[in-house]
Formats: sequence, structure tokens, C-alpha cells
Amino acid sequence: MSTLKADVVQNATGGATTLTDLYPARAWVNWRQTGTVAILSDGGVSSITDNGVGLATVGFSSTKSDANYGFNGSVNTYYTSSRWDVHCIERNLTLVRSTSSVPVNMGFGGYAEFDFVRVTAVITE
Amino acid sequence: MSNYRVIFEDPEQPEQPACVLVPSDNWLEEAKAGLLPPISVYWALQDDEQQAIAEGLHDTFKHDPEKHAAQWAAPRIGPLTEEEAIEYLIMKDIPRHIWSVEYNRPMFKIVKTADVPSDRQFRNAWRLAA
Repeated sequence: MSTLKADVVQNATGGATTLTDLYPARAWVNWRQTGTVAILSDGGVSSITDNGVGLATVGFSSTKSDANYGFNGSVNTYYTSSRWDVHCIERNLTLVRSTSSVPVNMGFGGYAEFDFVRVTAVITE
Repeated sequence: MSNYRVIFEDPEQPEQPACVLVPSDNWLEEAKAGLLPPISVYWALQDDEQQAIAEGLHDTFKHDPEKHAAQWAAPRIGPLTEEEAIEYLIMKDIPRHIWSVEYNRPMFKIVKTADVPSDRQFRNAWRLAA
């Protein structure tokens, strides 16, 4: 067994490394969509945009090679309802899923858009 | 946490509320460390994708590998101040028609974080004050 020690691992052009049979998150962000909206922690994200109640856009630090990445979202809530939803918006009048950003819609099942105290989005490729 | 936010409206969607851009602290650190490529690298990628969307080919669209790699391979632009980084972020993450076209009123404004209302009761009625 050998030990590899390095601070940074990149591919030949400086981008994300491809790991055989491993598919780590390419970007993730945890943010507060209540009060003054703020990013709590993130990786591979340049910004989020508060687009209104229950609506945000996550901007990626680096543009993805295509827009067919995986999206996973979740929210934390103080409320007792277990019916909540976080969607990646494919396209609406103003927003479109793209290689540089992903629009996110969150709310209670039903469907009532809502601002949550903690929202998480994870992007995999 | 960044001292700044960017409030903007989309003139093509006048019924939509004002949006608030929140920069990532990690990304700002990269900008201050001089790790960003020229903004034209991102614009070239955005242009290619917009064309694919217009042609109805977005589902199968894939960026040109050389243009895509330029995000890391292009020479870095050097360290930015926080204010310069926010201007760069506007040009990267806010749709181009909002900041590149002159309208009869400002469509975006850089504000102090503390100046953004924390009461979201009427969030969907927010407008950008002149």
C-alpha cells in the first residue's frame, strides 16, 4: 500500500479529475432562504440568486460540460409537515437549467412555495 | 460573509420581483487570490449554449472540449479587490441583457448586505428603487 499526499489534484488542463467508478459532487451549496438570504457553506459555487419566495438560482464556479448533470435538493424546516419538495426547474418563463446555473424551486407539497431556513443543492456529473 | 449584494430586475419580465445575487465567500477568495480566467471564457461558453437552446438542441448539447478547458487553461487575470470581484460576478452570473444594455432606468444595483430587507413578508413585491 502506498500513500499519496497532495494539496490539489487536477486533470491535465487544471479542471476536475475523473476518478474511475467514483462520481463525487461537482458542486454543492447550503443556504438560508429566510431573513437576509445567505450562503452558509458551499463548494464549486460562485453565487446564489434569491429570485423570490421559494425560488433561487445556484451559479456554478465552473461551467459544466453539459446540462444533463444530476440534481439533488433538500430543505430543513421547523414545521411539522413532512411534505416538502425541492425541484430543479428545467425551464419556465425566466429561468432555464443550464451548464452555468440551476434554478431551484422549493415549497410544501400541494404546492405552496416557501422560504426555508436551510436549503441544500448537490450537483453530480 | 461578503459586504455586498446585487439587486437586479429583468426588463424582459417586468412582472417578476427584483432578484438578489449573493456571492459565495469561497468564490470571492478565489477571485482575490487571482485564480479567475478572463470573463470572455465564460461568455464564449454561454454563447454556444444559447445557440444550442435557440436551435432546440440543448438536451444533447455538449461544450467544445477546448473552450471548456479554457476555464482552467487560460491565463489568470490576477488578484481582484472585492468590489472588482463583484463586478466580475455580475458579468458572469447575471443574464447579459440586464447589465449590458442601457435602459431608461438602472436594472441592477450593488448594495451593502445590511441594506437588503430581512423582512420577506412581501418578497414577491420587491422592486429596485430608482
